[in-house]
Amino acid sequence: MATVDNSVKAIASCAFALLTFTTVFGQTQDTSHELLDFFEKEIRPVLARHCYQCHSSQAPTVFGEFRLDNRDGILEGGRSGPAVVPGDPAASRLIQAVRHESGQVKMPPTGRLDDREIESLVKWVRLGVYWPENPETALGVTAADARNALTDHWAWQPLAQASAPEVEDKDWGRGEIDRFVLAMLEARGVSPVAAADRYSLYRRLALDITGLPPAPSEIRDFAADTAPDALEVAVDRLLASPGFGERWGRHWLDLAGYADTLGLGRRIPSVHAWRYRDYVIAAFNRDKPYDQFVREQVAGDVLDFKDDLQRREQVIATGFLANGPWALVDQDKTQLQMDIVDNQVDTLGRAILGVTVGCARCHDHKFDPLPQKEYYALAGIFRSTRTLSGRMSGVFSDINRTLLPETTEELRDRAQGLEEWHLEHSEALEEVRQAEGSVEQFKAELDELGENDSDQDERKEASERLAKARRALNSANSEAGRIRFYVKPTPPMAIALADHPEPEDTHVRLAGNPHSLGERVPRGFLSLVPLDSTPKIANRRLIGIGFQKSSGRLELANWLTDEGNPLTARVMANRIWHHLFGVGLVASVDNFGLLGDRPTHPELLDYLALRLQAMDWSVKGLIREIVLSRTYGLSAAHSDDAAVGDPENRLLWRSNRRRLEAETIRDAILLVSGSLDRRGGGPSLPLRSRGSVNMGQPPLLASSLELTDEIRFRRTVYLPTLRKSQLTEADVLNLFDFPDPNIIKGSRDVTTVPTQALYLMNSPFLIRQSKVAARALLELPEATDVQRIETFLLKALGRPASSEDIARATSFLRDTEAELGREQAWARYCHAMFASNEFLFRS
Amino acid sequence: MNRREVLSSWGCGFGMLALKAMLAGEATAKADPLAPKQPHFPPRAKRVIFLWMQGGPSQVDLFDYKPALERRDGEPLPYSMPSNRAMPGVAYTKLMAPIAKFAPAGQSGTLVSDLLPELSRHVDDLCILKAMEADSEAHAPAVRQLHTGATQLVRPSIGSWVAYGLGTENRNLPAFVTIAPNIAGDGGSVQLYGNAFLPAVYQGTALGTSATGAGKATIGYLDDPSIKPHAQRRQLDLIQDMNRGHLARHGTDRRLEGVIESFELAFRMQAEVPSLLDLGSETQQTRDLYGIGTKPTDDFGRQCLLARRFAEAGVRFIQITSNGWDSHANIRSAHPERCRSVDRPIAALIQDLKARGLFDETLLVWSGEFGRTPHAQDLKDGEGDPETYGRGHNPYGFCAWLAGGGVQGGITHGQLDDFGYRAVADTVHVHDLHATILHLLGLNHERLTYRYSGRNFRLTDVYGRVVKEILA
Repeated sequence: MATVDNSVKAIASCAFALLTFTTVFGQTQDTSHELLDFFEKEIRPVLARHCYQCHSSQAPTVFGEFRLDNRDGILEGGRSGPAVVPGDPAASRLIQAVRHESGQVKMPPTGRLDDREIESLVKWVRLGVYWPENPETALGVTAADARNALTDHWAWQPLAQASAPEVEDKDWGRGEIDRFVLAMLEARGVSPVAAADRYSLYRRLALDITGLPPAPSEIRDFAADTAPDALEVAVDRLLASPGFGERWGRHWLDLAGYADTLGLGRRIPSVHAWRYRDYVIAAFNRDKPYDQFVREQVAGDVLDFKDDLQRREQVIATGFLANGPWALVDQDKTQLQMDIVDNQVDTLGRAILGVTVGCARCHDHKFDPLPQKEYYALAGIFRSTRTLSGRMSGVFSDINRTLLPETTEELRDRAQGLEEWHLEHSEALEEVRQAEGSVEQFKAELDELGENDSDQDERKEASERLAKARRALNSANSEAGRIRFYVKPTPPMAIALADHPEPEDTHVRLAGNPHSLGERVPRGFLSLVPLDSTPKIANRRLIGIGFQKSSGRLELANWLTDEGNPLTARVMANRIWHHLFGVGLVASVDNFGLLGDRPTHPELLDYLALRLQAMDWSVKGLIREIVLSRTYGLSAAHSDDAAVGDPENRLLWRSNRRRLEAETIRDAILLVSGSLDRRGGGPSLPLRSRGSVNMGQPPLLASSLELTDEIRFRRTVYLPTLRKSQLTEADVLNLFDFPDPNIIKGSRDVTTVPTQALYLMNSPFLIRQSKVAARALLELPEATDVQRIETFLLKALGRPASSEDIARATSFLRDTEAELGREQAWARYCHAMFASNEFLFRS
Repeated sequence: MNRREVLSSWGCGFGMLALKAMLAGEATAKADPLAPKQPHFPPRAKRVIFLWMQGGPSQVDLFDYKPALERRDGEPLPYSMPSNRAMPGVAYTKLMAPIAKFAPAGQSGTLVSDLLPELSRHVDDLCILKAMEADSEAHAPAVRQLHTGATQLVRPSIGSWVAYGLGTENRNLPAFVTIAPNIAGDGGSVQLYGNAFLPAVYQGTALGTSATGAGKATIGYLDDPSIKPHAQRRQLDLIQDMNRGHLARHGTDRRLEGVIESFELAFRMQAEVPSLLDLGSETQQTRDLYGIGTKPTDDFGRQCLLARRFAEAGVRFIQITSNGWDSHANIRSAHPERCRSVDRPIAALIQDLKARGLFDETLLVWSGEFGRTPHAQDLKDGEGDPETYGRGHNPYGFCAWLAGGGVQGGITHGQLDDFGYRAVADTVHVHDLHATILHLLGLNHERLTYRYSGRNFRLTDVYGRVVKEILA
């Protein structure tokens, strides 16, 4: 600490430091973040733990009329006068008390704080007694009381209808969204940059909406179209393309932790998982209302249905919570089950409500009004739900699968498939029979030899023959197993949730220990959601002609999607904004709680949430409204003036430049080279091809898993997603921040590491696709090299080539062609383009 | 707070710079996440070489001599096993004497099994933790715990935490390297060097896998054999030229600049890493010392020598793996064979680090994910030949050792019961081991935190105690 103190003194007199410090928000984003972080990490917990029992609004009697739960209370002090002198710890009574200085009150009365805690408080006072914004918010300690104190946190408030504010520049905006944004910019004196040029705008739209660079013909059309509704036409076309669901479905899969393997440890193929992935993609493409989408994923198996098709879709939807990173081999099955429940509660909480419910597994939530009891009220619902099946002892548990109804057509196809299967694989199955025969025969021969006491050589020979036959049988069996298990047409199944036959309320688990039972709590919901009436969980429901006990997921689904629940709509509206702007209005997209970020534009956020509800929860509708705004269409240009006031662009004075996601990089390269296979849907795992799986208990994917030609060049969302690292063939995913499917995260990291550059320079994928791209260019009939450059640039970067581009390319091609020949030179040129920032970033 | 309040509360002259200095660490980390960072207190070691014995070596056959076990060979179990350990077709009914002889070694006279003759010559450098504990008896969770602290949940690996806490000393190399890791087997996983929710710059860089072996361990995509370096440089110049033009058109952007730099760094790595991996540049004498080129020691010898070279080059955390310690059957032949493959390489590593003055600033950690049962495991349900017996998994008590920077050599710490089954005194849980490793690197395990999902996470969760008794 000594060196730090010195540096502080050295800088203390620097007046300019103060100027840099006060900016648009009163503090730069960076600084306020650090202060907040420091406060939440080191100060609030100390105050809460040691002081609030007596010195907060929650204390039965506020001792000394002194409160430590808001800044004013601290500055004013209690009966004995001000407790702190900001900036001067030595003169602050609070510090004297916690230091147990002689002649002073010694606090806390239960015993001296440890040195580090005291040191933190000293630092806090020296730094000016920072308190997070909204000084009225008095934070509670015990969660039961905290509920009252925390009710004014913005996120728990009902959606507020606000009309867009008046703005000075009335001509700037196109609609309400723009007025919300501009009003804030004007208030802070920051000017937005100009609109993006039409080429950048169209590339941005195509990448954001479909995850693919735009087709050259569409770019030209859009650039030339001067009609007033040109933008709307273009947006509608993009929203209608199947690429939309493939991209936005993938966003959702990040939250679902989707993967094609089961379990954390081994690579056990999750054969039916793809049905959920296809369900999600189709839901976005068909613009399934978001509330319905949520209901189906939480309780699809118990929702009403009008026909088999609907039932099937709804059952598949529960894959959202059914397919997760379960440690199936864990021998402590109680632990395993509670871990699954925890994952489900946490996923649901963060993905749909933006509340870190999982924090309350072991204790009352430290910061949000979420008592541990309410966690277990939700947990009881999932404890009453079946996720696993099979053995609940020993080593391997299995996952629950539900048989799906088939259409007549599918039944017919399957019957035909079975016939073909018998014909095609009769040989392999015959091989098993023969191998079994050989083993038996050689075994008998060996036994005979043994009885006759024959000579050693003969015996050795016979036993070697037998061993060989056994090996042959093993291999034939394994192959036959694969054929029976994975190649044989089987009725469709889904990894799905089902209600437990004996649903029941569960116990609080003390300190989160699954074996340590506390009181039993009735199943129910979170009280931080401001609903007038929460649904009652019916223990029995009428199904067909009889009653069935139920877990409560149906009521949970209704509670989540009740229009009075502000979180569900707010969180989704914010996610949509996040994907379109790179940063949410609430930057912490999965956490709207007290430790999450506050919305930069709270009224706009509520406006968007209400619009989402008003448009019958149409995701496409909300995207459309946002991308048609002037704000979305701003250029990504830098502005010194604006950057001084708002360096992080939280006020949206320009468009954010972002690196493409791993999938988009791969898809874009394939599209530009001409290799992209636009087919989609169906199983991803190449289980039907030889050598793809090692049969055993349980079967495991081969370590050298290779994609089949059937899916090799499809969009990345259709490739298998593994719980361990992704396939080497799709190594771009391992290197460019593709999320770990075992972790739920609505906002991806974007890192820059040299291994990415190595991949871009040296990976066989880029080298090969560059050759393919070059060959196509060279095969263009009657084109000049300049035209080839122009064609490629338009395809890759979505804009016409500048003279600088042409000069640069021509010079490179000339030098390289002299050494490596024409085809290589062009391939290297295309390769360089794929590795360039302009290609890899969306502005 | 409004603007005036902010100004007045800060009026005593502290500005942003001062604040940044006070909240040291994270502020600088934002600019360059891998820049060397100040530890919380002066470190005793600058780096770690983590020798993971995959599968669980047997403590009673290697480091903890139990006369009672020897005396009562073949007798029924004097202790009870947890009920969930019963497995159909497997008998766990008899105690099994150590499969090796023990003799005092070094000045300290520490007993070491004769299966490790070379290592026993360095026993005065080792601090043997005799009462280790872990939480799971299944490989996958136990392995995860040893590497990440958590049995079930996906958490950052210890190497990632160290890289996050300390940054790297050599910007031409990754901060955290794992050589020939086991990613396919039971419990092997990329999670063992994964960053989980930490930023991806902190993930371990894998050199090959245990399937490819240490001989072929390299960083992925390190070269493109189809192009000569000068031609590739020309191509890189084109990329960088385009990138700079792009940047100039858009004004300043730290991220675009970062990519431009990363290409230059990658190009330097292409030049430097192959020579770092080239063991041919070592003398024959050194290669022999590590047992490279000789059958049982070649693979782990290469790993150890590579570890030394990475240590020398400034890598923070180096993980190496010896597979195959999971001797459920035939432990009498399997364990000696495993010991032969690591004994000489590890002894060579210690000797070599010392000769280069690196030993005192490098922490060596040797451990399995758990140990083995003192009783026999008979896969033929009581019918098998005792020669084919193995030992089962045992997380209740096992041995690990530390050596090098900051730990006392020639001591043992902790005690198992008379049979070597359960830890009974001076227990060191895996969380404690983690806390101690961080401590030796100058990091307080309670303060090395990362905010994720609304709360601060630690390597040691809410556990962990620094084993102060063994610190030098």
